[in-house]
Amino acid sequence: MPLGQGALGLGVSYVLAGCYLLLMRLLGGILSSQYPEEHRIEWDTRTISRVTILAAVAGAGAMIKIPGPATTIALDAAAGYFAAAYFGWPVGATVAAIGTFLANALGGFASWFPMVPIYMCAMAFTVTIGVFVAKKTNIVFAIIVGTIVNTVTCLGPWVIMIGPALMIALLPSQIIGSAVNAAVGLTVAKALSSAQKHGKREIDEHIEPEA
Amino acid sequence: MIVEYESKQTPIHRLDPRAKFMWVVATIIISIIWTDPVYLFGLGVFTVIIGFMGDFPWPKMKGTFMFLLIVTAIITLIQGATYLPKVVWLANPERVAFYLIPRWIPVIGPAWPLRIGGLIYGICMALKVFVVLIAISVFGYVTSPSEVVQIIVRLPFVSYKSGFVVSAASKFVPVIQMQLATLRDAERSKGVDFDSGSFTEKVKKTTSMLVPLFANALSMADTMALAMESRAFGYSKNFTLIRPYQMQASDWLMVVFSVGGLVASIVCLAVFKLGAL
Repeated sequence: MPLGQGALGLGVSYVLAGCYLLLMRLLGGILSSQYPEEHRIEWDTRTISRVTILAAVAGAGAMIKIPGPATTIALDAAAGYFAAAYFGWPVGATVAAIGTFLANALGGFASWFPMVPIYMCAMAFTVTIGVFVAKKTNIVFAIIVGTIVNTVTCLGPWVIMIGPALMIALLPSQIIGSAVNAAVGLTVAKALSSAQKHGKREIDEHIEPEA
Repeated sequence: MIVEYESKQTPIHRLDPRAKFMWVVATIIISIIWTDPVYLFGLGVFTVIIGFMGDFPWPKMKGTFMFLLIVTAIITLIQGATYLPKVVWLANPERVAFYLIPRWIPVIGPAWPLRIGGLIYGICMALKVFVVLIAISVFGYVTSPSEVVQIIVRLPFVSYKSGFVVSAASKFVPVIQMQLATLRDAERSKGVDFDSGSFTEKVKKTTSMLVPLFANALSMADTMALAMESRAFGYSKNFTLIRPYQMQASDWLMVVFSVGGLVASIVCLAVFKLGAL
C-alpha cells in the first residue's frame, strides 16, 4: 500500500536515499582498497576544478536531447558515469550528485524539489555501482546493472509514495534513458582513456634515445 | 528556474537571503507534513500573498500551471482509485464518489471506483505540488543566484568549496552549451544529420560529438585549476565573504514567523491532529 506524499512517504524515501549512500560508500571503499591508483582521490584544486567543469557538462547535458522511441532522452547522467570511470568513484559520485541538482534546477525543479536530494543520492550510488561492475566484469554488464539500479533507485521512492500504477507508465522511458546515459558515459571514458594511452605510446616512440 | 530572478525594490526582494531561505524551507516542510486540503489551501494563499508582495509575474506561470493541472489531475484520479487513507474528520472515506469506468459501459462497467477518502487525498497531493511550485518560484524570483550561493556557503556544515563548485558549475553551463553548439555545427558541416536515422544511429551521432566535448572540458578544468591556484585557492580553511550580510528587524521578523509557523504546525499536528486528513 502506498505511503503517500506526506511526511511518512517522504521520510521513508529519505531513509532509502541514506541506504543508497551507505551502499555507495561500501562499494566505493572496496574500489578504493583494490584499485588505489584509480579510485583514491586527493581533493586538491585540480580535482575541484574537474568536478566543477564536469558538473557543468552534466547540467548542459540535460539540454542534449535525443528523440527516443518512448520519449526524448537527456544526457544529464553521462558526465557522472564518465567522471567515475575516468577519475574514480569519489569524483564520479560528486559530479553525478551536483550534476543532477543543476540539471533539475535548470529544468525548473520547483514542483519536485523535495525529491531532488533523493535523486542526487540515487545517481551517486548508480555511477559508483556502474563503475564497480565495469571494473569487475566489462562495460556491457556495467550498462545493464547501471540501468537496472538507476531505474529502481529513481522510481523506487515514487512507488513507495504513490504506488506502482503511474511508475509502470514511466518505466520504458526511464530504462532507455538510463541505458543511453550509462553507455555514452562509459564508452566516452574508455575512448578517451585509450586515446590517452595511444597518444603516450606514440610520443614515446617518437622520442629518440639520447646518445 | 521557471521564472528568472529580477532585481526590484519590493519588501520581499529587500529581505536577507537567509530569511527568504528560512521561509521557503518552512513552507516546503509544512506542505509535506499537512495532509488536510483546507490547511494546504490556506498555506497556498499565504504563499501567493508573499508572491504578490514580491511583485511576482504570475502570467509567466500560466503554461507551467496548465501542464501541472493535467499531471495533478491524473495523480488525483490514480490516488482516488488506488489509495484509501485513514481520514480523521471524514465519517465514511470508503464511500464511492464515482467509477472511472462508468456503469453504462457494458461488460466491464462499473469498474475502478473512486473513493471519497482517496479523492480528497489526491486533491491534497495536487495542492502540495502547487504550494511547493509557487514557493520555490517566488524564492527564485526574489533571490539572485549569487545570493543562493552565499546561503550555501554560509551553511555551518557545508564546506565553502561545495558552494564554490555549485556556483562555478552553474556559471559554466552556458559556456559548455556554447561549445556544444559549435561541435554540433562542426558535425553538421561534415554532413551529419542529427534528426535522421534510427534511434541507435542518433545515439552514435551524439556520442561522436561528446568525445571532443569531454576532452575540451578536461583541458578547461586544467586551465581553471591553474587560475585558481594562482589566486591561492584552498590555501586556508578560513575564508572571507565579499558581501557580508546584516540581518535587519524585518529579516528577523520573517525568520521568527517562518520558524514559529513551522514549530506551531508540527505541535498542532502531533497534539491536536490539526492539518491531518
